[in-house]
Amino acid sequence: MMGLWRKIPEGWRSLLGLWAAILLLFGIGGMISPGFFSVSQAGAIFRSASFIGLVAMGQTLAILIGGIDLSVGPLVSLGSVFGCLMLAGRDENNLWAISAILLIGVAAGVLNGVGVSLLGISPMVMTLATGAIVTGAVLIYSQGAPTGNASPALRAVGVGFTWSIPNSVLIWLALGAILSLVLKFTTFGRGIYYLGANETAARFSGLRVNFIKTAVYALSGLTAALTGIIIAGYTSVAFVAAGRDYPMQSIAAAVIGGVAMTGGRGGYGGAAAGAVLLCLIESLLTNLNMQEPGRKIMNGLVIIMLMSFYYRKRLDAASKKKAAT
Amino acid sequence: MNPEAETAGTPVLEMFGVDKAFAGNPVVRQVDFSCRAGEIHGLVGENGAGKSTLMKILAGVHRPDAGRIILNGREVGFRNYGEAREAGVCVVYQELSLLPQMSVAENIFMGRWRRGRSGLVDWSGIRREAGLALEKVGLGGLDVNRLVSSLPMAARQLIEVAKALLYEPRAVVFDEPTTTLTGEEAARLFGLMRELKSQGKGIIFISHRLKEILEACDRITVMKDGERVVTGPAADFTENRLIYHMIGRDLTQIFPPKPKRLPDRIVFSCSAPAPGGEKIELSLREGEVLGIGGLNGQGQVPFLETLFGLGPGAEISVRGVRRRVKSPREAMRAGVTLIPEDRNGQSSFPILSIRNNISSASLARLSVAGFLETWREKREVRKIAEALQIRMTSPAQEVRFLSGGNVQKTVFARWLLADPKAMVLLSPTSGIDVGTKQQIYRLIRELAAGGVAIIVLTGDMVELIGLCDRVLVMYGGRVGGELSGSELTEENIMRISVGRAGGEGAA
Amino acid sequence: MSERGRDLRIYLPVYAIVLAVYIFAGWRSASFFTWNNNVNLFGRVTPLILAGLAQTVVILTGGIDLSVGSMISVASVTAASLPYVDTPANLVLWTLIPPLAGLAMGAVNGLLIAKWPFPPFIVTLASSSVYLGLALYILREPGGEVSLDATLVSSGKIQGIPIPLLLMLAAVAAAHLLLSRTRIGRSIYALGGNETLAIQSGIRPDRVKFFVYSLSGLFSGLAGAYLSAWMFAGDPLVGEPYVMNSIAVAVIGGSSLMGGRGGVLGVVGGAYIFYLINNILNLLGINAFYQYIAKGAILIAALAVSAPDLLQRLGLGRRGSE
Repeated sequence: MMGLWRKIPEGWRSLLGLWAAILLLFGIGGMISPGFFSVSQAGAIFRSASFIGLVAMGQTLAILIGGIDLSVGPLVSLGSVFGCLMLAGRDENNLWAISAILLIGVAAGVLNGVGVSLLGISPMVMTLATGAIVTGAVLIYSQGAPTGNASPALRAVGVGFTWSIPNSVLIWLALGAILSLVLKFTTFGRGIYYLGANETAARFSGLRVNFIKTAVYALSGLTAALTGIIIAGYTSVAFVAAGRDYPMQSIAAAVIGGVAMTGGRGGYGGAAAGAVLLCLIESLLTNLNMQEPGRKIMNGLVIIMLMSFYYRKRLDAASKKKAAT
Repeated sequence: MNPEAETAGTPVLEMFGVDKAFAGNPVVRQVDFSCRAGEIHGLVGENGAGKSTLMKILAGVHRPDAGRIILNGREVGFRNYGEAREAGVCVVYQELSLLPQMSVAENIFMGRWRRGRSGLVDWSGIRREAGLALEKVGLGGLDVNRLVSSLPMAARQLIEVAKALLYEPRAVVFDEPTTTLTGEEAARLFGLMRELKSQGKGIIFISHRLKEILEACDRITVMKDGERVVTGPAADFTENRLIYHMIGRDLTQIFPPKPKRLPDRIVFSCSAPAPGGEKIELSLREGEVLGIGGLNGQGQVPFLETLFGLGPGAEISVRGVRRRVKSPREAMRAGVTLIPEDRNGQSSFPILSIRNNISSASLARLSVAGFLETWREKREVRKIAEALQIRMTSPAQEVRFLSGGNVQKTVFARWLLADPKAMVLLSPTSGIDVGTKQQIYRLIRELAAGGVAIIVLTGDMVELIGLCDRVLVMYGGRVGGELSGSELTEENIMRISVGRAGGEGAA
Repeated sequence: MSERGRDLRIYLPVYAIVLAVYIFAGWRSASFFTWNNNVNLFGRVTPLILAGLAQTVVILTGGIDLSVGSMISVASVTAASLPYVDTPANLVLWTLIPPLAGLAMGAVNGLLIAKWPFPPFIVTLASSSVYLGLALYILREPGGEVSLDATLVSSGKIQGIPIPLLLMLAAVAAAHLLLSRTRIGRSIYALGGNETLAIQSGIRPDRVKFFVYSLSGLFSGLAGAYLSAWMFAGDPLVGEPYVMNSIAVAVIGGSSLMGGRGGVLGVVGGAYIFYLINNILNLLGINAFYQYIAKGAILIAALAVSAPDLLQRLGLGRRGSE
């Protein structure tokens, strides 16, 4: 058994480990609380995970290039609020409203990208600032009390199922798969890893560093805005604080999934598994009737436990392989 | 050469039977080493020979697996830097331990801030003592409030020595101190070493520059593959003999032969602004290796970077095609590549695999419509890694585990894969062992013979003369003079380096 | 460049902006320069300054503390849950326990970060969740009881000087003294500048890191106690906005997220800018929601201006010489 484990290449091991943990927890949940291990419960969990996972798509890219995107929270809120306001519950508005919101998301991302690459502002601060501007826009537009409804088509996406799988999960799977492919097999994806590993060397290798950075933040803004729209479909009405937890949750998902904060290491598969794990634990705890305080505490403890696992692994690997100096 | 060597000075430190292995790999094997009071003892060996590790054991960074260390007649076992320093052993490393954004005074007293009567840090006392410490190394007039970042490398090194001297060491180890210094600055450092020697301290001098070792040291020890090969008075050695001991075979020629005649075809020419204000125009013929020399800080690096598109634009002509380059991308598209000096910081991706490192400049070529042809990548990378004899466990190994020489080969491999037409190399062999250097020199010659224009910047006079067909010596931001053929000698290079007016370069 | 030159370069942008904003405010509204308005300002700005101090000491070591908000919340609900004891000892209780709670939480952060190489971002991200849970556990909803004595803190005066102002000045002075004139203070800068080199100079990174995160907890605890006095109640969510705001204040105040550069003197300026914006919008009758946009813009402007190689990046300047 151990021999089999060793044969699996490094990158796949942690992914497998995560999914093993997920299955294990599902099983435990099923044992403790009948009805937990059911399609409907899984559906609910995966739907929540899809929201985090979609935001985590952009966040993973940002972390891979050694940055971070704290503007995703406000952008999700923007998607939700502007979505409902612009759609006003009518399908005719779908095309232009959704396009407009996605465009705003991209614009915010480009602003981030420009600030980080041309002005040299640290990503944490730049995205924080952009997030503040977006928050302002959301509040001003809605005056704190957003109105409007999601269109029927959007509601179908947010709430409906296809082949017993929530629609948002299908969208997530499709987009997530595309992202993984891009990261592994395209020059753009490879460029992201180079950038994250050593920006100067990437520049000297002729990579268009500024373009990649801007594109990454633009994509992050896009996925965050998209998530907000889908969430509007799920909740039907808008919430100003819809995106509040998403910056931290998307980062947590990526970190649990093995994406290193220093950049250049990790992939989207791990982040997706991380999103599922987070939602699973939340759901499990709710099922156990643990109140919000307890759930928050568990959330934090899980992150620490998983992170310690990764760092111990990396430390061991580094000290074993290091050639004598 | 050094009369003091005749008198038997008492040993300041002795190491007996020292062993050290990392993860099962023996790095230092049963090494005996000693340094006497009032002697400069040179330590040479290829990268990986174990000399750095031996010194790190002495400095308390590593604990030996076996063996004894005797300092001033007493057996010691250091557990960390601090204990070694307190006991009287100080190391001045190549990568200095100064924090650039802090002042000179603060750096000298880093970690040892003295407290005044109020219990708070006594800054005026620190500044005063820093000034005194600087006088001992010949930097008496320097303003101790200046930030280290505003000082040139040579001064920083002397400050590092001043810092070490505060601990009143009995033994001082200089680990590759002259790599970034010019001849003039190195001479000043040697003067300081001799001063320390006359104070009865034991000096250990590690360097790859054998000429300097032979000149400055009283005794020399050669290490190879973790073992001490030979120790003897400097007068007993020549450069060739040292190399022989270091690599175990005779290197009759480190440098490949230069072509007697060069075809007239011009493969590269450029016109670019130099820091001195004027434009520098140069051109290379097929098969020619052009060297750029001069004291540090005369504008060589900014000028060469301009050829690569970093800075105000340059006009270049590569194999007849004229272009203006304003960015590295444009330079690369024209076929020009630049290999910076700082390998780990600027040219390699330490946490990525060797394969990824090698293919980073060829992504466009190895892909179709944005999708990478990974099988082609694997094949070409393997071919070139083998051609350059990169020592690795597999192409998937992360570059940060490679030795310096192999990292540099990986960087070369990257650019060879990108099929360059012109290469600008900045100090390509700094900190690399003799064996790998030879390989790199041969590689450079082969490339040049194949029509690649090669421009090499190096502060190593031997390399400049041995490798290059023609040398442009820069001074004050412009070309001070050009040398080739029989005129290419050390004296001539030095003469132009210091300018006709006889003034010094920027200090 | 000398030390003084460097310090000037760090703090000048902040105070230039403060001055500009102040003048603009005064020009547009006469009531800006009244005593009342300014006293009010001091009162509001103090907790943000404390949070900014907390974040600054951590950022100087190259780390970050995302749990500042939650620690403030815990301190706030703790202060509001203390048993009311009808003696002067009550005030002592109230001023000691919440900050100590903060210290304890910060120490836990410090332990995790110092002992193992866990990245501070993740540790404090996780602990912020844990501490939030703790705050919610103590008080589910805003409420609790803050003893009347304690509320004197927010509105009281000593020798005619408002207590909040004294508190703020004392905290900043203590922090500045710590950073510039004590050994551990200098170790903080050294560690942030280059950890490896700092270790070589005999600095103990684990001790320094443990210290700064504990200190961050202490300052956060003070802020939480102060807030509960100001609001007459404890609130488990009161600290939420302080996380990001403290980072912004520290950064506008001149400290670099990379560590090793900056200091606390700019924190006052940074915090002031934040509240001045609100103040101005209020006095000018502009929708308060615009504060977010203003803050975002100022953050970007402040950082863009202080970027050392700005011209180079924009392709307008020459590269520096070697």
